[in-house]
Amino acid sequence: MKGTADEDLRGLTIVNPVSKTITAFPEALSNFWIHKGLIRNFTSRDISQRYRNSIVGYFWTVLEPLLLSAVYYFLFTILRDTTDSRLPLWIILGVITWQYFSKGLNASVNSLTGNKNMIKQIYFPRELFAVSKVMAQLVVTAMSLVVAIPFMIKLGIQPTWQLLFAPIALMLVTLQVLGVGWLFAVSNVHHGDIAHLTRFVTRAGFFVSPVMWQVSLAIEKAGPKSYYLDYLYILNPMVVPLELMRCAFDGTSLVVPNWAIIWSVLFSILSVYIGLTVFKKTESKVVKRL
Amino acid sequence: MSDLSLLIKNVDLSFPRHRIGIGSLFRWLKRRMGQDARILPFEALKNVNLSISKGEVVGIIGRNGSGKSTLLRIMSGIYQPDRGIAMSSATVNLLSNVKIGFNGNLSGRENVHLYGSILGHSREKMTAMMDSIVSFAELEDFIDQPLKTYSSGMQARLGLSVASAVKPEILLIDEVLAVGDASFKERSRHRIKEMVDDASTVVIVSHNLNYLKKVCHRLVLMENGKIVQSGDPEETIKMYNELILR
Repeated sequence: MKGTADEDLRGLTIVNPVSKTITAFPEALSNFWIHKGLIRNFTSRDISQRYRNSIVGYFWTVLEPLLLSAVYYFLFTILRDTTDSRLPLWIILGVITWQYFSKGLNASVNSLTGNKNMIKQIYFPRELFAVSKVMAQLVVTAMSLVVAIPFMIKLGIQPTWQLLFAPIALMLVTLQVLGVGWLFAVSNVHHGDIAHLTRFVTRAGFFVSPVMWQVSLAIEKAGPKSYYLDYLYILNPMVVPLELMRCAFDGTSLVVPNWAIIWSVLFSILSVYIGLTVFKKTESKVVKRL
Repeated sequence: MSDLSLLIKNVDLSFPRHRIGIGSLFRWLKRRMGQDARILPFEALKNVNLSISKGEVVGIIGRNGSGKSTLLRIMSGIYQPDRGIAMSSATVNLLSNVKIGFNGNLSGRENVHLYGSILGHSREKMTAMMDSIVSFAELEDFIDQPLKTYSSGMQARLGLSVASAVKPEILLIDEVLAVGDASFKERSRHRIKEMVDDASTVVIVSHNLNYLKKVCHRLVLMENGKIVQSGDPEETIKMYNELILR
């Protein structure tokens, strides 16, 4: 038997070393850059197969939020008789943003359990599964935002510099979805309850987030001094992205207080940091359980 | 520089045992009340030591569940050892019998690109090699059809073709030589021989002892998560046969 006792270790590197807590995050980030080709490939695979075999193809990216919004709009106008003419635009923006959050989160929570076979047969950084799923969803979301244009023309809204809020809002959602998604993905391997819980949260969250309603309406109802709204801003990190999205397209000013915006940004960054660190630290145990 | 290609040192790996059934909360409560014993983890690898030199072709034999595939997964980084260390001199490619990275709705060509990018190759490199990959797999007529229309043998051929096309420095093969018909088997053996001649390091897990005897420099025998013998193929096979008959 060759090479026993004290081997010459020059030129050898450790296969997939376990990262230290401090370096796990920067290491994982650099992995994204190294594997950018893989992310691109996974993303385009995901998008192209989603609309395969369909008659209208990519038009579904626009059609789906449009149809959903139509239903919500009629439901809403029946429940509430006074309507703002901008309501259809608001609802459609809310639905698109919320769908990004909901589909992205569910996909990343299931990113480990759903790719079991691949994970056991080949090694590459597993956090990329969630990244490519969310990226695919982001591309679809960006495509469906085209639907806002006819509404803006109809309402005579001129695009302003506030349109820059839209990429910021999508960025915040992306960070939240990935961070929480990574954290939940590893927990979901241990306890299948997490995926069920996520599905519930994304469904129930639809109603407690300003998708069909607006924060301005809530302020109007609750009164300007009500502290209930503060809880909403703190507990629901999706309020700020949804409101940002709305203001980006209709050009009105934000009604959300500044501290809530800062909190939302902070939450997004923290969730990515914690989510990815926990993911990398627990990965080796989790893979054995798959 | 070290002349080693792979080094496995004092590696332990254990798996948590799964309990069949749903509702772990009730089980947890039961255990709290002393109604249910805790299940000990399954030790898949126990203090495994193995070093493989550059250009060496090593076969791993052993009974089902003796830890052969788990050891390959340690070498390729899929599992991280609980204790000990796994080192390599280059990127390790694991080729396993289960079709991986293959998506039924995409065409064979798209799947080759996808698999290639998982293995870390650029799109340009894969495009350049596409023709040789397709002709090796004998799939010229089918390559633009969705993968779901392929037979299982065709899928396996495509996988082996992609994985071996790139001439990896270290190739781990987990019981895939049994795929395809006689002519494909012959050509994949030929290709492995090419890699051996190119001084690539190859580790093969197989139950085909005659084949291993022909290509391997050394055989490793595993039993219950331990390496019990490592050395001359003839001798190792003899020990393996004794082990089975015992």
